[in-house]
Amino acid sequence: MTSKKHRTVAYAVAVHLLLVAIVCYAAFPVTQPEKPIRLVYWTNAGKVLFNHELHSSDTGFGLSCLDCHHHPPDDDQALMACSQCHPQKVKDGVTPKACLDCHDADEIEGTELPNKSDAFHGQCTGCHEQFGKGPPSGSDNCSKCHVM
Amino acid sequence: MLSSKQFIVSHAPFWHNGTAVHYRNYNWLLALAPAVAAGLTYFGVPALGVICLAVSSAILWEGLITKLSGRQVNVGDGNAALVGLIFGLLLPATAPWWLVLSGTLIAILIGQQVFGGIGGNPFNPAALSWAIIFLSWKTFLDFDSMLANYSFNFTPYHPLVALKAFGPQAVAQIPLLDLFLGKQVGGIGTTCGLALVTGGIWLIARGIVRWEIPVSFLAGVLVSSLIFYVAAPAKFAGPGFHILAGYTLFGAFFLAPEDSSSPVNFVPMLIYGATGGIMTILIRNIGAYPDGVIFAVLVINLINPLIDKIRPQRVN
Repeated sequence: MTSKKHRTVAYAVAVHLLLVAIVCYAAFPVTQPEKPIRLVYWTNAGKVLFNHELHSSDTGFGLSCLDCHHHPPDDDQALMACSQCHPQKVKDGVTPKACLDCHDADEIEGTELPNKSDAFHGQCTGCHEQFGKGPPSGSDNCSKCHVM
Repeated sequence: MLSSKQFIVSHAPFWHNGTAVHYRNYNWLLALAPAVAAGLTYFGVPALGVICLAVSSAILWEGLITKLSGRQVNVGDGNAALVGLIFGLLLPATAPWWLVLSGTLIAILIGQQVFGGIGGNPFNPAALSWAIIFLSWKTFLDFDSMLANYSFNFTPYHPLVALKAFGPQAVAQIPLLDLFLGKQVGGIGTTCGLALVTGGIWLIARGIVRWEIPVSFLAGVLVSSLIFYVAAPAKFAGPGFHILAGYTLFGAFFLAPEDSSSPVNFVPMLIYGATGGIMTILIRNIGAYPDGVIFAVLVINLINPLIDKIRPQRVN
């Protein structure tokens, strides 16, 4: 083949591959499934990889959804993203919208709502301590979960 | 007075196997086919999108840049496609389209065309682009985060990140066979050792890549990681893990031996490869990054012109 023919073939291949790529990106986007598999939390102390599938599946730790998604108890309404109730930063006097979906503002007045980091931290360490499994808590054990 | 030199070539010895540039690049592309197949098997359609976009955009970027700069358009030699493919295979399967386009633009423009195109680049273009992308948008090359929505039937975290953060105990249960068969979190085409070794041996057998660089690179990894392991087995992982995890095999067979940025003499090739392997382990074990292959390759690219001067000298 001559150089010109090579060039024509290369451009033809490039155009076809570009079309395939557009179809792949447009028709098969990678989305988070309804029940998350793994979640990565980016914190000031590095990232934390939480294996949601391992914690919730019967072949893993077999936790029920409501063991962690705790409010309101015994209600599927609790199966919402944690950050809907626990924002990244709690602003004084500002109540998350998710709370007002079920509560009147005066009903939850004065309720202390931990921010997302504190809520997750309490949830993880509390459960690990309760069951005596998983990475231990304590200031000497940060790097057992946090990838610095 | 302006220099009349138009074309400055490297010193002897030269090695010609009677084929053209496109033959070499097409063989490289063919050698990467097993890695592509493995990536598609493990990561599915999203990986296909990344690979196709990387290859096509690299070809189109090179065509556009050479056209605009008034140089001969040589996209038919397969070099741009190869650079794009190598860069695409380093990415996670869920890399966004703009990251792929940015990466191939950097690889073609900054990695190669500013140095005059094929044969003029001092660094491996794909590795250089990966490093720039990594330093610019680090989270998009965080495999744990990018592949969080994949359900794997193997250890679902990046082995080298786990090693770095939690120590060798965290990866002790990962079977080496799993790593060799590609059952590890990582880049689209960098996880399956079997595919990479197959492709690498193909390149060596065809005379496209000299054996000295991959073998000495892996020997450097093996010896240096063994020294660390013997000195403190509770702190460092063994050589088998380091050879099979992360970018090691991809770096040894497909990044380090890049034509333009690697030496041509026997002893320099051995030094070049071994230095890359040793640097990889130094970065992994005592450096800041979990996987040191890309930066190690860039370092040996940097010292390549210097060590390639180690050759028989003319006696006056």
